[in-house]
Amino acid sequence: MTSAPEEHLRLEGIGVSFGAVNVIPALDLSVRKGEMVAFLGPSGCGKTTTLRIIAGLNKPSRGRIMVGGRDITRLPIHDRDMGMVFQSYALFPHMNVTRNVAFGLQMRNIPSRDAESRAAQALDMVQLGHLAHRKPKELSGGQQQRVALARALVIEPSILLLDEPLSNLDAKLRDEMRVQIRALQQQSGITAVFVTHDQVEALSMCDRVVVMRGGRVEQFGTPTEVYERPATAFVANFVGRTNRLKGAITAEGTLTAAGHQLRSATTLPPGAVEILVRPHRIRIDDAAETANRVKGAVSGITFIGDLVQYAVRVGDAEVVVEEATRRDRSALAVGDTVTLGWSAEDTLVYPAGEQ
Amino acid sequence: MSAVPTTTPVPAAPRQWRDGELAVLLLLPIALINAIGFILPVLNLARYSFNKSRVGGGIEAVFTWENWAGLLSDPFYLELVFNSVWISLAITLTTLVVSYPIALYLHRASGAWRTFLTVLVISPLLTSAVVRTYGWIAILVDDGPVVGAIKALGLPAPSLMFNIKGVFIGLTEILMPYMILALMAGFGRLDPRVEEAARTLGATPSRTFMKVILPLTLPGIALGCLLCFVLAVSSFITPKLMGGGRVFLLATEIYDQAIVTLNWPLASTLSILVLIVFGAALWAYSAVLRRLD
Amino acid sequence: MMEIHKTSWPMRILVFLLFVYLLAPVILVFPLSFSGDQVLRFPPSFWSTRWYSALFANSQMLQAFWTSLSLAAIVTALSIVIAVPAAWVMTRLTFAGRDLLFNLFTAPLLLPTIVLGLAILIVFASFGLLATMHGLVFAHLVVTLPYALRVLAVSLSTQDRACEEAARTLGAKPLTVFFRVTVPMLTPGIVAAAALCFLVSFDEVVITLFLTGPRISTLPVELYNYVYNQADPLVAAASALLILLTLAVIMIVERAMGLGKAFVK
Repeated sequence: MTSAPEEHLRLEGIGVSFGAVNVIPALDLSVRKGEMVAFLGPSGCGKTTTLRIIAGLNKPSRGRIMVGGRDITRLPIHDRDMGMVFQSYALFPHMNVTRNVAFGLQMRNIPSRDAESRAAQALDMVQLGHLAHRKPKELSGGQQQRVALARALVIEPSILLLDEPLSNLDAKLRDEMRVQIRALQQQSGITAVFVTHDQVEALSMCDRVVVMRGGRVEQFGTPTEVYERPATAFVANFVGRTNRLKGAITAEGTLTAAGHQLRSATTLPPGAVEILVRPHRIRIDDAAETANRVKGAVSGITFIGDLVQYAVRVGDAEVVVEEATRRDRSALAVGDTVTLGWSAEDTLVYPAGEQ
Repeated sequence: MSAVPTTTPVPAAPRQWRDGELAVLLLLPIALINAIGFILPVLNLARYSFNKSRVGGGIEAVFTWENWAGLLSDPFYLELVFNSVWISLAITLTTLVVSYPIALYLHRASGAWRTFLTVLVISPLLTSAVVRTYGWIAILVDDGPVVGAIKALGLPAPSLMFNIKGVFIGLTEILMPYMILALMAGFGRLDPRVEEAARTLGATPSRTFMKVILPLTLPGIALGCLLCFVLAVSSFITPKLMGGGRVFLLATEIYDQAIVTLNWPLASTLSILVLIVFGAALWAYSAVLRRLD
Repeated sequence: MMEIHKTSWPMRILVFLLFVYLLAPVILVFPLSFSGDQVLRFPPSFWSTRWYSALFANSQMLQAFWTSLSLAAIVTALSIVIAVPAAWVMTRLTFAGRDLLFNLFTAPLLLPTIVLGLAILIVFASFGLLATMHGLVFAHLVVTLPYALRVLAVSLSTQDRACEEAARTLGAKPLTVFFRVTVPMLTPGIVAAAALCFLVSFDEVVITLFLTGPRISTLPVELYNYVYNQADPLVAAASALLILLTLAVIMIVERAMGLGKAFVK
């Protein structure tokens, strides 16, 4: 994408407190021009609050917000030049679609003829030109969402803010809108911040992902980094599925779990640890040499269509293994003894009790 | 995620109003009207109940127990209070009995039929009490349709006007919409599935009513009764017009003392007495609610 | 669906009879208003429109009607102008003592009108406000404002606040948001509140009885005095017209937001 990544949005020590409670202790973040960043985390992690602080809808207790090198912390909401898409879409029910989209332009004192033609262009961009005279309540959820997007983009804001924009749509529409929003963002080259609790949205749509928990940034990286090299056990658990095993590192530095000695690419000081392995990275009865090989008994089989899930009892732990369905797989049955194998790189180790 | 409290150390932009200043400015008119038209007059009322009356209206600002002592030792007023409370209670219970079936029926109705019936219930509420009382006078007068019908059946003709019977019949009807609305608000808790469950478990309709419907609707009943009792005690138009000067209740006496006799301290004392009765009703209501929880 | 909700016939008949009881006095005034009799009698011995003629010839009643109409109109307009900002403060700002203030502002609804009427009479007597239009407007505002405040506060608190926030992010200043987003979205609530205030003011009789005199009087007070002194079908004619007026107002409210929402809080 951009050859020389230039910083566009910067949060410096942003904090929010309710009385003595620090909801967000101190947040530092830097977003490059033209990139789309996801704030990903469970509800209550502070992601929406942070987004609203950028928009000016919430006031931070401390810290600075910089956009393009300018401090906007004290700038009133209406002077911030942000385009925001709300979870409920927040279309003005008393205005038709065109007037909704033209609203931001009118606020910028653009003559109404210009405003309307630009609104019409924006509506064409989201393929809604034919519904320009409808009232919001006459539109479907997906259409409302696209109007909201057009309304936010038409003012050519300095940053596009999206607050869980897909959470009110059904699954199929959500897939379509993911692609469309991403395409629009890339076409216009706008810097965007996307709040979501859905890891698929974050990973598939965004250039970088901020995983948040309890008002803190757990990890900030590309989707691949966050998935493959989760910085903490929380990130590993929240982004993608994992097996969690209790284990320990002995004084000699050997890693053990469920009665087996394991190998990992990570080195940690001796003590109790948590070991995480993604279900689809484990091979069943595979001839290939892998760093980790353990024996176990199949205790459950779930057929999901394109996937089969095996529950395998290893010592006192249960390990879930996922495998794409293959016709050549010799049928496994509950009670069969199998050998599980996975690489050292796929063995993620974290100090125990972190979560 | 809720909003950040408005008192943050980050100072607002200079030309923005602070919430506090804005609140004071925008609430000023309603606050003034409330203070001058409500708080001040009611506090005055309490004060005047301890002041001396001046002949021909007006008040002498001398502290006295006279009004209260006179009121509490006069058999006429004691009976007045007792009658008002007793009659209001009886009217409240009658209103409940005649309103409950309508409320239950409305609760189960749906769609346009329900809207239509709800409008029918509310429309008397929006019709002046004078008009409705007048309607009752026309129905209950000595040669009116009701007395006529009773005579036609060969029964002795009752006198329904200018006595407590007429007041009772008229006031019950006038309070019905309030009771029905309060009951319906309370029926929100009444999930039809609970009833269905009771029936599928083998309960008869009457047992379902006694064991399931009635207990679930008790909060609504309590609210409706409180509302109607309070309105009955303070009702004035109906007793005045239908009582023909022969029915004495607290509210009519307050008016007579204030406008006819021009004894404002006594009228004030009676008003405070009404408020005390209200307090008692409110206390009884919250006691009932506490038991229900 | 199970059939147990089919109401039984005895229950239907009971409900029907109770509805007859509930609506009898309101319905009765219509035939009664076309009575040709000199006295109140039902059914009338012959029909005529003489009482409508008598009503429109009664200058005192007409005068009182115009007083009531202008009083209700002024009170309604003032109630909305005063209650909309107040309701906005109550639902959009957070400050200490907000709930207490809200309860205080709606408290006049809990006070029996007979007590409130007397209380206002005594205070107004010393201000010289008795039997004046100012006085009546003020006294009616005491009663209508709590209704307006409640209806508007409910409407405002159920409004999607994200719409206001969206307008802000799109560049609208607070005052612009208020007039271009908040108020238009509040229209159904304003219509309901206005209709309610109008009806309450137009029908108000107890408090008004304390404050009117030979110089100024309202229609309900005149009707009360009339019924108190004599019983003839003139009031039936007036009542029939009043009921039709009320129905018209109800229909406006029903159109705007649905009656249930306006009254069953």
